[in-house]
Amino acid sequence: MILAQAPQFNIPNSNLLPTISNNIEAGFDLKFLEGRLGIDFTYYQQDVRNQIIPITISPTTGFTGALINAGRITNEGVEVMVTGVPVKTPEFTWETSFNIARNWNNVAELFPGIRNLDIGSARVGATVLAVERQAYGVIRGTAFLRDSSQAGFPIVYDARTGLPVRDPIAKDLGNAIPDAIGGWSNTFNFFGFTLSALVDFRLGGKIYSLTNANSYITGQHKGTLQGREGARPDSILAVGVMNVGTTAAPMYVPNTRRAYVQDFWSSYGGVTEAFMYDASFVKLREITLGYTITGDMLKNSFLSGILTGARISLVMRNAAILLSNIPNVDPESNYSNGNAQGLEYNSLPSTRSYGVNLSLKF
Amino acid sequence: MKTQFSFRPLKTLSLALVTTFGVWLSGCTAGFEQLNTNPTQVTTVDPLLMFSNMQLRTAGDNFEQQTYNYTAISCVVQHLSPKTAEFAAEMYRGMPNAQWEWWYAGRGIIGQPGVVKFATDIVERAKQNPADINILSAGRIWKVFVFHRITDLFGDVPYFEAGRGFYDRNFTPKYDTQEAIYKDMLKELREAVAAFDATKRTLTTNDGVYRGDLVKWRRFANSLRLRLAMRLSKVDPALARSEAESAIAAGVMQNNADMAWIDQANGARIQQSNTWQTLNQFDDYRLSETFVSLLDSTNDPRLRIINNETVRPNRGLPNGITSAQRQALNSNTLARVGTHLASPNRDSPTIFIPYAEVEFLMAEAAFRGWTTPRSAREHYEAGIRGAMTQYSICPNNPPIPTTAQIDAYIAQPRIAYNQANALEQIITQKWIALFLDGLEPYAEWRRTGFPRLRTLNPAGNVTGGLVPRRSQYPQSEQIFNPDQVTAALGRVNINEYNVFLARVWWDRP
Repeated sequence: MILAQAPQFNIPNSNLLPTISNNIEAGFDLKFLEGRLGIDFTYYQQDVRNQIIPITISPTTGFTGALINAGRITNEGVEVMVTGVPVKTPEFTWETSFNIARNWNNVAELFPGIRNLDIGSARVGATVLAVERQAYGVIRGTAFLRDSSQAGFPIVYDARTGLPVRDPIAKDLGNAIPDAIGGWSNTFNFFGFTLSALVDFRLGGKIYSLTNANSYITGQHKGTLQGREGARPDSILAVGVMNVGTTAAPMYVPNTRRAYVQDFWSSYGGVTEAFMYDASFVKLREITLGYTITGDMLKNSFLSGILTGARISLVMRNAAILLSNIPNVDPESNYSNGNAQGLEYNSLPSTRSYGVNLSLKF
Repeated sequence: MKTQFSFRPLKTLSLALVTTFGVWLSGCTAGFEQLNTNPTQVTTVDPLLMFSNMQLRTAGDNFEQQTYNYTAISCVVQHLSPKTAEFAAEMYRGMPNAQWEWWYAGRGIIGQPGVVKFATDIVERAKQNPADINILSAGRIWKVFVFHRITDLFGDVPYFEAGRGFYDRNFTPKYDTQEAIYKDMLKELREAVAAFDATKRTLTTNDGVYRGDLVKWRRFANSLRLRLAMRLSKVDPALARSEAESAIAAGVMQNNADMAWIDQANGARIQQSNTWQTLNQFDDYRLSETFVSLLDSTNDPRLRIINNETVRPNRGLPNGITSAQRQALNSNTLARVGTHLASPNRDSPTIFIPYAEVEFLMAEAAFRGWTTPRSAREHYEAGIRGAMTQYSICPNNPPIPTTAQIDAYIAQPRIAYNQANALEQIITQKWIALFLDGLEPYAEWRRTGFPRLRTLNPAGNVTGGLVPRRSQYPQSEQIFNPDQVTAALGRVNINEYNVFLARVWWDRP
């Protein structure tokens, strides 16, 4: 075999096995009260073995990649949708629909000796991984070094510089995959008008915001105002501990070392942990107001022979973010166009759009 | 009737199909090897053909490595000073570690495998054929040369299981202790030297350093063993002494003709060329004021070789200063690396181990009272003479100092051997002789504290002005090899502000 040398960076695999996927899906779709109430329920289970994936490996192997059969990845989930027509009169109807879905993912086995797969990385700071015995999408990055012997695990600041100390071991800082996603739509019809609104939501899931991190590093974030003024301008005394013992036997006391504020925030901005946010949101995704002109209404107009009906509607997309736990950026932002969720970097804000639709029936 | 009628052709057809497939299938298994062997490509390679590429790769063939890694270390040891950008390493904010991947696996982006992979492959292949014993031995020696750089910079690193991803399918190599690595490297050098056999196939011109000269290979290996032995002078003085004396007795480099260096004169291709010229092409570095002022104040004729310009060659750029201070200095007028060591034609040579260093190692051995051929003073002076004349291998006619010039240099009170501060003199001279090899002076500074580097306490440094003492492992190791790197970090003191302030095994206060 010549494969090992020359410009070869991936270890080939002569023992690849076919991928085997087992799927089970069950569900029901029930309608009650002459169709005015409906429940649609689906449960699924998926079990994939021997998935063939190229992985990144430590360069100390002499290579940077290998092709493997990943052990076993499972997915299990439910999807529920409830539809209803609470009010139905000739003049006014209200139709509503609510759906929610939840998926449980588990990377059961990867490969002997490999417990992490790299799915994607931020420019700096964080990597999204598939970690054995955890759900796909673990975000790993740098964390603060903390004094684990004290309540609240205070952050350790350097006794010489007053800057936050990073834990040399990268930490798992959360999972990008949300607990649940769903939506709620309502449509009202009255006297030819139709008003509908769609609310989208996501519960749980984490996001690393490099936009916020960078604005700390460059001092453009509101949070970095702290320490610039006051009795001792340009210095900051962070609340935490510092090590006054030896490196071998640390002794932590309350921090008294003031740091130069510019260095402090640029150092702080480099810690991934500080910029992990909850990616939950509730958004008013769309509002539509329409009016329908029926053929009857046109009967006496000059259009009667030409048009059989028309509809005009005003549409607004991305109307409002009703709830978000991340400052300055859209919680739905995503840096990677691959499978790596949970990374945000200099994302453009989502745009609100307005539109007018006119549809004519001939 | 009708059904019966239509059945027969079907039966015949199935029989025909079974026969056909049967033939195909059996044919498939019979010619499997042949069928799966690419007739237009080689299927095996002579390990010798990889040798020169491995040596060239060790020299560093890409400006990125040099600017980001070797150059950063050169700034730490104050050979160079960055003119435009501030280096995290020089500013004591972190250490470079991109060479981790470059050394072990290589760089896919330029399609060049790393030296560890090359060395592992050469050794594995040469092992299979007893006639290749000289290739095997030279490969083992080169592997030690590569690994001593890696472990000196990073401490505990994958060694025994490294580079074997293809052979063992072990994707998570264990991190070995530096102590185990050093002891094995010393053993490898002893065994490899003993195994050379002049009656077997030699390396010929595929060896870019010694052209297959086994006498010189032995001297190189023994000199490398002396270098490694001396590194242990603090952590294990008895072993250091016995290995050093044994290496010297076995025969080390005798003059500049034995020097380990590679000619990059035909450096048209990026893989072959010396890329120190990027220092001037991008003009990001000047000579360090620490370096220039020492050479200038001792009337060192080498300053005219290292910097062959007339513009204020006696002024360097101080390390660890702010951009505002740099601008005030008008750094464009300060001394830089000239056309002999950083030729614009990319044809400057790369020195791996200079003969002068070997004399300085013996001078130190004599200073410590170990058995050496000559006195500490004689070795020290021989080292200076070797270092003064070693640049005759450089292009563009370097002004090699005359014997009279060298005599005058050595006669100066600051330079003349003085037992009271001999160690500082020896290591400082070695630091000059190893100019542009940042790694070895960096290791020797950590071991001895010499030369006296200018104390820096640049704004924003995270070490309180302390010089970093190793490179930190790349973050990616914590993803791809978490158990092993965590075990290695556990042996370092991870409470240290940053790992790069922790000493490696041989580095003792």
